[in-house]
Amino acid sequence: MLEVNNLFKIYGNLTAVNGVSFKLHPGDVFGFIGSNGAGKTTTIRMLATLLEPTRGTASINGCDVLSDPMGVRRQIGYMPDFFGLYDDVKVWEYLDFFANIYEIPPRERKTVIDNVLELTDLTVKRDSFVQSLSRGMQQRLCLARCLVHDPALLLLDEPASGLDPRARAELKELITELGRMGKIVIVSSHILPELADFCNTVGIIERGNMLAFGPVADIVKHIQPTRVLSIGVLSDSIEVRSFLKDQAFVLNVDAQEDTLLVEFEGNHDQQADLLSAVIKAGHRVVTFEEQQANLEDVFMRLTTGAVQ
Amino acid sequence: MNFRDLILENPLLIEFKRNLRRFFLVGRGRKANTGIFIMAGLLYLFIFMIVFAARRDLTVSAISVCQLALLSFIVPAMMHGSIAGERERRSWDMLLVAPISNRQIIFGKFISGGAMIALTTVLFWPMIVAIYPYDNGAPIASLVGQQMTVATYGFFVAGLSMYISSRCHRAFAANLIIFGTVFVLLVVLPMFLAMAFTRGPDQSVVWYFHPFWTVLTMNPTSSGYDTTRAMNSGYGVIQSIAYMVTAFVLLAFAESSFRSIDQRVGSQ
Repeated sequence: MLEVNNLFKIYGNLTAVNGVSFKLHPGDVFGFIGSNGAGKTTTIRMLATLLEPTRGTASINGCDVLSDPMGVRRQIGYMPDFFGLYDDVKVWEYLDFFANIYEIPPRERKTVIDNVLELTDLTVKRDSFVQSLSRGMQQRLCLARCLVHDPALLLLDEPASGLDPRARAELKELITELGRMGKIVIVSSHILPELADFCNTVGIIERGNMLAFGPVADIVKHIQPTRVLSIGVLSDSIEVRSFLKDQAFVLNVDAQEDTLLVEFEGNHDQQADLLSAVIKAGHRVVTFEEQQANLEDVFMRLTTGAVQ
Repeated sequence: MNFRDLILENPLLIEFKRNLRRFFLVGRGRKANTGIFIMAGLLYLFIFMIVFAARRDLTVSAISVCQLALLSFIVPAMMHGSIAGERERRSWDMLLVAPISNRQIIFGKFISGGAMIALTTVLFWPMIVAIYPYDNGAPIASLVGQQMTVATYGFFVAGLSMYISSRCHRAFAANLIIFGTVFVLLVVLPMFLAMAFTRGPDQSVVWYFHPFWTVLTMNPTSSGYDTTRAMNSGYGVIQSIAYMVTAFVLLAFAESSFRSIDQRVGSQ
């Protein structure tokens, strides 16, 4: 389990991370969302033992980042936002080098390397020199390096940056699979719709403050407690609008060309009743759907865009 | 941290393999390397033939002086990027988050660089073997002393290079600072002290520890040679110890610099 308690990073007058706290359990895939300079990378670097927190604690399975950094390092796999790989080594040698650092016994290394190469779909590049790999393949190799020692926590800082759509889709699948394997995965990204697809928990950070944390659905519900129904009609929209306003659980109705946006506080049964009432009243309905607030809406609603 | 973790099974010894590949891997896709390798081979052969032809007129010290000069250029060129270069190309973070101690990183890189220094030193041995029988009166102790001075001086420059590299974020800046420091130590400082003090140069500490002075005092045919001076220089033993101690002190400083430069959480 990862526990982050009141973590601070202060540089002179600048508070890069301001008392961030959260807990993650095995299998959690956590999307860390924030603008540039919000404090995501600083937080991740503190968890990776690359930066010393000014205050607060963070521990992974009981190992504290300050008092037992070596213990933490054995349990994490860190993929930075920008990284370089060693030239003049082959793919398997690069992984063997890190397997050696992680004290994997020599007789087990070949199997471990073959497994991570297979998982990251790099088996065919086993004997290629690292510098000859494409950007996407280097990204996958970096991820393979993170997995060599079977870490409990993966810290992936902008893992999809610079990847083409196919590579992104593959990475998404891989991260989902890692979550299923029981690892805690922290992913920071700007591509919010993608994060929503595979993260079961998200955290929104701005100016070092964690504005929201929890499952995506809970955060959406928190910022938007009522439903928004989008109703497309062929009838006179002004007439339908006034009809809808008189219905139970309807709070507000906005018209956008042929579509009516209804703010509704009822449950799904009452939503079905509303549809039925509209049709019974003789209005011709062509579409009727609940508009789901997505992660992007949540992000835009919660943050101001301010940077430090 | 034991000898095995630090030296024998240090994962960073992969650097030696990388260095060998960087400089000596030839073949398809390595046209530049192949070209340089062939040129260097021809140049080495050419120099060896000159040395062999002039073996009666040369002394072992001449070769030792060449070795010192070469190491003053080769070692900084090879080791300036050992840490600064990793920071620059962003591979450093991945090493720092791995469970490897600062000491293992520093020693692994130092040993890998040291192996290249040893290789460079050994390349000159065929020339020494060709000259030595004609270098009348040179005791074997002077030959061993000179080679020891050369090798340990190389390690000192390697330690200096690693220390400066550990303090820099750019490999090129590290390279400039290392060359500048070596130039000051070998040229500017002795000149300044020679001007500032009127006492004999061999009485100055700077001269005493100057590798070129040390090597030349052991040369029987040089004008500066006499048995007393060769004995006084201790056939390079004191200097060699001083170079190695300084190298290790610099490595210790390099090891402790990580924390302040990278703000890394402490490790053992």
